[in-house]
Amino acid sequence: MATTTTGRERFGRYAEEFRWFLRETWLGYALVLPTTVLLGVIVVYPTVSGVWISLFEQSLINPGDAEFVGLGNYARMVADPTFWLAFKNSVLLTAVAVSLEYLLGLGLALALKEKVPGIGLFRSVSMVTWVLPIIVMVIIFRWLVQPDFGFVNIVLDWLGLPTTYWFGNETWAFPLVVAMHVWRNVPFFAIALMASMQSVPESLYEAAQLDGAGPLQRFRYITLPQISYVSMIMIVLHVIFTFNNFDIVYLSTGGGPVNSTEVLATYVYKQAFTSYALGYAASVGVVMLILLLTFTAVYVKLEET
Amino acid sequence: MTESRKTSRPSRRDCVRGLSVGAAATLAGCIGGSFSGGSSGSNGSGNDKELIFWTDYFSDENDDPWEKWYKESFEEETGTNLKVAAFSYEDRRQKFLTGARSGNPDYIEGVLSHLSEFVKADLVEPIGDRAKELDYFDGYVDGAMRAMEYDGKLYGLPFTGNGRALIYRKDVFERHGLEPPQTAEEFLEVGRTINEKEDGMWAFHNCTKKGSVRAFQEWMSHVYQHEDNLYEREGDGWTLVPDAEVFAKVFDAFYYRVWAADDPIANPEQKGTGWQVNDPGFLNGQFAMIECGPWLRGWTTGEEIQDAERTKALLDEKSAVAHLPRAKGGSKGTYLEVKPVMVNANSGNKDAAWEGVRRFTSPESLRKQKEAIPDSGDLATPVHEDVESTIDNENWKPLVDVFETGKPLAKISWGPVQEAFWTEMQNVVYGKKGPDAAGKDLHSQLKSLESEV
Repeated sequence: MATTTTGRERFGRYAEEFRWFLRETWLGYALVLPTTVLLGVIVVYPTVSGVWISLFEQSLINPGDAEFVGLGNYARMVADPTFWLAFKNSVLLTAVAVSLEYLLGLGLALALKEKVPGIGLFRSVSMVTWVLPIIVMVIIFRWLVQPDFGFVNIVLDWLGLPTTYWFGNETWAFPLVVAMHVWRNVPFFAIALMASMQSVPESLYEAAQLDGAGPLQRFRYITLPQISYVSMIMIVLHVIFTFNNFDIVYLSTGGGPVNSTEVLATYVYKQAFTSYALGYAASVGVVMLILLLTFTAVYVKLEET
Repeated sequence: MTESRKTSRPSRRDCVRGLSVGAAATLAGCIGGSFSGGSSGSNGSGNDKELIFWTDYFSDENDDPWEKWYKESFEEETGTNLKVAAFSYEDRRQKFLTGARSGNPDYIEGVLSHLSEFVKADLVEPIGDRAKELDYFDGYVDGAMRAMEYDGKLYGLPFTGNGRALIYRKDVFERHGLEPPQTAEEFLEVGRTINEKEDGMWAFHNCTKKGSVRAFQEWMSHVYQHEDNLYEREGDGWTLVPDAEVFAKVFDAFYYRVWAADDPIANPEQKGTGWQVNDPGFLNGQFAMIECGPWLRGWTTGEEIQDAERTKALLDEKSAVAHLPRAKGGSKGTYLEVKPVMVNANSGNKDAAWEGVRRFTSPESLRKQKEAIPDSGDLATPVHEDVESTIDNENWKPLVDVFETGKPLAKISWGPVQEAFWTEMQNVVYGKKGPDAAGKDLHSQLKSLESEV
């Protein structure tokens, strides 16, 4: 009897706590609900749908006529040499471009931080490349390297050096794609890192100077650790952006010459819209998603430790 | 007072309810919008008051009088507003394949390879019954009309057509006593002579950019010199027609020996370029021969043209047209480009969409186009007998003969075929493979696509 009463009391207390919990938090849940539903529609649904499609052989021409193949698309991918070439190019492009962007962005940030006359104007001008639409940037680069009247070739010709259509050159097309990424993104790195540097208390530098630390030591032991969080965010963002980037390669080289600039993003597009292989394209997309999620998780974890 | 405040100020519950209703309405709007196809509406009611037409004709200010006539007469006839949206052909194809089921656009102008893709995807409406009632129906050029058919049904009306020809510098040929080449050997010989004797000019250029539709069309032109089709209908499937030797011959004469051999006739520094270098290069006097269509005639201005007067003189007095040279065993033949205008099978107002197609492709519309753009390349070889050619220059008149030898694309899905071609073509141009090996590999790839196309 006594046990029953205790049980009832306990249940009553839990019920009361639950009611209190609902009373105190229902407004919060209600406010979060629209965003959650919206994200579900525009993020979760397409992602799950993409993973689902990757298990089917489905054609763009007749999307309703899909055949379940399980992991068949993934098995095909493993045996596909063009996939591996695109994979290698994507990793190489991302590693080289983001590394250069970070190093050059860091250098530019140190320059932009200096208090010299006209620096405000220089800071604004330095952002131009990042603000330009990608198509405009690609057109500028295409014009620069045109065989006969491109500025680069005119200068090379004037110096007595060989000229060519650089985007059509197997050796130089890939470095040129890297150069476009770097040219575009260095200012963004610089502005973000400069903002981070400006938030470092001046007293730290003064104390280090009193202790006899030189400029390099101050940079190594004060600046770099203080900007590491912003650096991590910028690197993660740009790894994702570069790895997923489609338009720079597609508009400048189309993946050529002889597949030398083919990357996973252009390969997915071609599989879906040229070869009509929606399922296979989705499976490559899923692999890209997994790679980027893994990179982000590992990098963030390493940064925390 | 308290009661009054209670009624005049919304409670927390009211705020949340309002937010929830707002979010629900927004989501409903999003979802509803994505299925309804936006402004054109596609509820099948047939009462829509706005129609959408995708074409990039009308995007040039020279088209204005033609566009004005078209829009006004259409809106007057149907009582429906017309909205024209311009996309490149590649964008248009992709957007139509992914979004046409929403009913947007109501009708579309495309290229021939689009027609077969759209028909296979059940995205375009057969219009044969309506078209046969037109009193000018019989005046359309037979070849162009055949190109509009799929499995005996008519899916579009043509409004422009052309064949790919050899456009060459008549003055350069005359200066060195050369004749337009008919065979591949003559072509290469002429090319070497020009390279040897002309400074600042290369004998030839064709498109070799990966993904270039123009490159594919040029290659097909040479394949059509050997066979009537790349694929032929056999029962319910398709069979590849040319053998590996044909591909090898074409690769050898027009790609390997042009770009990769020891004595190339094209500038090796221009490998991997597309029409952006090909056409302006000829118009600026850098090439003696290109493979091109009549649109070149009207291209005398724009940022690609270095000197408009010089280009005009080059086109009027110094250029001429001939059939494309042929590899051994080939005969006259070329890629026939015919552009169809098609009704979206999912349009909410097919009657008005048909009226749009009919009006755009009518001889009256073609004449209006000619008035607006007297030297339009689109009407150099008109697709209707009631419309006269815009060519008044004797040197360019062979375009009409070339057009008559044109062969339309088979009604297959061309995407995978193009992808295979671009890879092998670049392998040849960049010297990665010999023409024989590339021909064999391409043949084997295209053979394996028989069940897919």
